[in-house]
Amino acid sequence: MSTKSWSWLHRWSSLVCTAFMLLLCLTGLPLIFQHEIAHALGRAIEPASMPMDAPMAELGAVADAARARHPGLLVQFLYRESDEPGLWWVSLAETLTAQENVKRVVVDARTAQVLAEPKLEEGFLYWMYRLHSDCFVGLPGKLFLGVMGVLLIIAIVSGVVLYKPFGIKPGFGIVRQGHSARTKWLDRHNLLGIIIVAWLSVVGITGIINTWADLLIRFWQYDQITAMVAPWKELPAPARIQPVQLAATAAQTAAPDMAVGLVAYPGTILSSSHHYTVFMRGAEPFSSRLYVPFLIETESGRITARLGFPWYMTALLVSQPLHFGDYGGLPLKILWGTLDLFAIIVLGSGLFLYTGRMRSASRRNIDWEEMAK
Amino acid sequence: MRRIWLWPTVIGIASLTGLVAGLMLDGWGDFLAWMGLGLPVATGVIDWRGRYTSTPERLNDIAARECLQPRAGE
Repeated sequence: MSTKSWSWLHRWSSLVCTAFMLLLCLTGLPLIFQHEIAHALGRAIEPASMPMDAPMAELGAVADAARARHPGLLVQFLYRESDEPGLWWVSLAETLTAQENVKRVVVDARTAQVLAEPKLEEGFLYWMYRLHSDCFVGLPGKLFLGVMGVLLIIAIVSGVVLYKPFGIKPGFGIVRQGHSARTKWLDRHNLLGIIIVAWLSVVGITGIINTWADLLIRFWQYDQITAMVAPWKELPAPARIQPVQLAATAAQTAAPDMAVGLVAYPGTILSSSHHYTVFMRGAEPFSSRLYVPFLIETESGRITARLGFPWYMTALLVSQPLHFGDYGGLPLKILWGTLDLFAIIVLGSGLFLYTGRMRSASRRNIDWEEMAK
Repeated sequence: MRRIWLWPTVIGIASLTGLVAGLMLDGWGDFLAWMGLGLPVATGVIDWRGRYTSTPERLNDIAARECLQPRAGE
């Protein structure tokens, strides 16, 4: 392909996605620091201070504490973060499969006391999050932003190809001063563009994968659980349901080196009507991001099967930290934020170069390729 | 070729190494992540302002400055 065709590809792939990418970069900036912002606003939730080896409360008591707060709602999941095992997030809704109007109650894992019920669906960070993830239109919004992400990848690849003809004259790292504003911004566009290529590609690709999260989870459920629970499909509802702690203990016994990360109650999108699903998490930095799920029969409290956790789920879970930049403390977040600002400058200068090109082309009919010589 | 591709290649490899190391290892991994992504950030900040490259313009600029700011003692 000639420089001219690459230019055309770079111009149009980026023009189509620029507005959305600017939106994503701007809304993503506060999201990088969302924990710090929540902390500063006094919204951080801390468990009661107790010795680390204080015994954990029964999971049933944790769920009951949340249920007492919302009588009439059903518990869907118990979930805890790997870096905060002292807090259980209990999600409750009117039905077991509901995804709207889900209440989330935070319960202390040791005292089984309700600590908070954060209002997750309001406020500045919620607005930023919704604009960033789906523009308030749900799955179609996510998939649309995913397509914009694919255009970004095309713009990155064509941009790298164009770096050679446009960067050869000044050389690497040189922003020419004393020329026109256009030359200066072209050089900055090239310089910042080429140094953030690796980071932006990773954030772009992992962002695209994150837009498929809902679909991948649904596919995993179909792929792994449906066939496994077929023998129970025609059976009546279980006569008795073993307590949730029994299910967690069964999984813990099967995977003694791991910790319970998520428990799905029977009848949710992650379980079956006759099974709990207990997701165990590893203890190492990397394995703590992945799960080993166990299907546990509600009537007997025994393990029916260890479910597979195929590559596409691994890709999804590994994509999240690589997109958010939340795995290397505050220094990494600050670097992430700066690289995000660089991306905003690359997008802005690209737009400036394009509009300048339109103006000068209409004025003097100059050849854009001249800039490369 | 080396003139324009050496640093971008180094920065690209450093970034990717940092991104992955931070995810796989505690302690050292975080340090590698800061170094790896610190490199592009530092490059961008240092080279942001730009410099004079072509002689005629540079001379013009120096001449302009000299005219505007009389030397000390004159």
